[in-house]
Amino acid sequence: MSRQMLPRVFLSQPLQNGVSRYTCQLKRITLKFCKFRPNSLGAREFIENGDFLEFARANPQVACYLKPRRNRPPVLQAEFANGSVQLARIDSFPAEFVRRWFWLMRGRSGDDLLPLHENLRSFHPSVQGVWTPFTFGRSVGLGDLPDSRHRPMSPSATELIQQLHRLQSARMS
Amino acid sequence: MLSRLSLCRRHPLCQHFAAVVAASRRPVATFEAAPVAPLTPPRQTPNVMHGTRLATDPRWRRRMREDLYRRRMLAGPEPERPRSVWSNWSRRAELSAAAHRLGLAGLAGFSQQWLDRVLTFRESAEADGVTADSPSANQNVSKGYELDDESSDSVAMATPPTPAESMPRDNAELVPTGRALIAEHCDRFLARELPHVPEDLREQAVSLLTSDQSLSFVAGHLGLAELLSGVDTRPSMLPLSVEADAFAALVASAKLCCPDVSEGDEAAWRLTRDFLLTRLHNSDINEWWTIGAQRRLPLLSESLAAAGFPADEPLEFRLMGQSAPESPVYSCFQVGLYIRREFLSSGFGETAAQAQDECVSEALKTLFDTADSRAPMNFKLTYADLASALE
Repeated sequence: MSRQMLPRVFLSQPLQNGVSRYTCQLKRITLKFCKFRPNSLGAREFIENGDFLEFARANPQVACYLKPRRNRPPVLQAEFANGSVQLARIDSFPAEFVRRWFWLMRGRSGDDLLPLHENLRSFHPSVQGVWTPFTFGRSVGLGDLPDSRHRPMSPSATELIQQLHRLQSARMS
Repeated sequence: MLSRLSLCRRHPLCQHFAAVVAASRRPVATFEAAPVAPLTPPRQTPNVMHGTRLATDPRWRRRMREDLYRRRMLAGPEPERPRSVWSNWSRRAELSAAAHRLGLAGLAGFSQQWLDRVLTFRESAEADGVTADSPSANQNVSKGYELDDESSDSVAMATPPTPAESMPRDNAELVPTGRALIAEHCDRFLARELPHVPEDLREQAVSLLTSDQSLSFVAGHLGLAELLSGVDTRPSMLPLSVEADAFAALVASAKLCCPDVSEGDEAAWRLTRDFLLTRLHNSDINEWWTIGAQRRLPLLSESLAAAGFPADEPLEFRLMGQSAPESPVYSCFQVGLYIRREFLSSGFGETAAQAQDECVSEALKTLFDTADSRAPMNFKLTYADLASALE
């Protein structure tokens, strides 16, 4: 889908994460893989070479699961603290890529990656408040019209149209 | 009929038909001929002219898929199930992860069993047999997973965790304690950060912060809902008050599990501060309370008295500017409030009365120190800081 079709969001953190304490938002990660298909080779290597255990040890705040299933492509299912779920297709990925996807999920907030309205967002965008006619210390719209400062137009637009009308009437008669 | 078909050599169906025809024509052999595998004939013989329909699905497959789709629609939506019924769920692992996520794992006196009981509601504690049979009950509790006796992490604990006998069986006693604790934390924090705001407005903010909606929002963002036992944890069946109770019980338990009182206070305060009070960050604090139109001027007098002005100090409202006063659309008035010829605030509106109301609101913001330009609140305060502020 193009950028025009996707919904846009403001950049935000769930539960003001990081304002006083950073909490890892990833709460559960499941590696689904097949035990004999070649497209799960990288996922199996990731488990066998100890990277999976290393991830689990380094992140005690994350519940890690392995789910073997026959004849299905390998998938990474990450569940986050606010209930959102992200899936990553790791079909035919080498073990190193699987490892990187694990650590990527660990750092995510769980929100969908969507185009942003603005790169910077301020809750108080104006330091001077709402604009009023008095914002810059002067009143506007108090003068008498016609204002002598304006250049007089001669003949005026009305007179010009009246003149054209007279000319046309004379021609028609 | 078969002989009238034009058969190609490549398509498996053609090869099959060819085999059938050959078998039917073959004379009786001296050896047992291999039987031709029976093939269920499709309802409509596909056009086997090479290159016409071979690139797309055959028609029978489309019909089969439509039928499957119709059956799926007739079967209705999937029943809503609690998260714990899926195979990738271990209550032991989940509790351990939650303890680390909430920062409780390193607390003295804390154990996984303790957290398990904090998240257990009384219904199951009283009627284990009933909930074990019901499909909505937490499956793993009825399976009876053995929880870690002691945290298996490398955190060395000076104090052994609370023994199981002295633990509460469920969170029934913890919930009211936790609710009171959270309200106290909120009140003391606001009193410290907004010392000029009157007490009744502060109470409004505290009651909003400690409402079921607010606390359940926090509990939902911490992933507590699916860890509860004794209640139906399906999202549509879980009332807000139950989620809120879970967070309250958690705060109370952080305080009670520590043998050291000050450490327990600090742990409970950190939970409230980090997960609940940070909701005040980036929000307009003036929107956490409402001041009725009748209350504004008396409140202004009270606040001025608190700021040291005598009670009968006259308030002077001056029209500072007006623009297009006759126009119903473009009119704009600006009114200023002066005390002892000193400027206090100004407000604008479409009529002079509106401008005066705005002016009073701005004056209150100035006196309460809750204007937009105020410094952010301090979310690094410790519980000891709060206590020292009271004295």
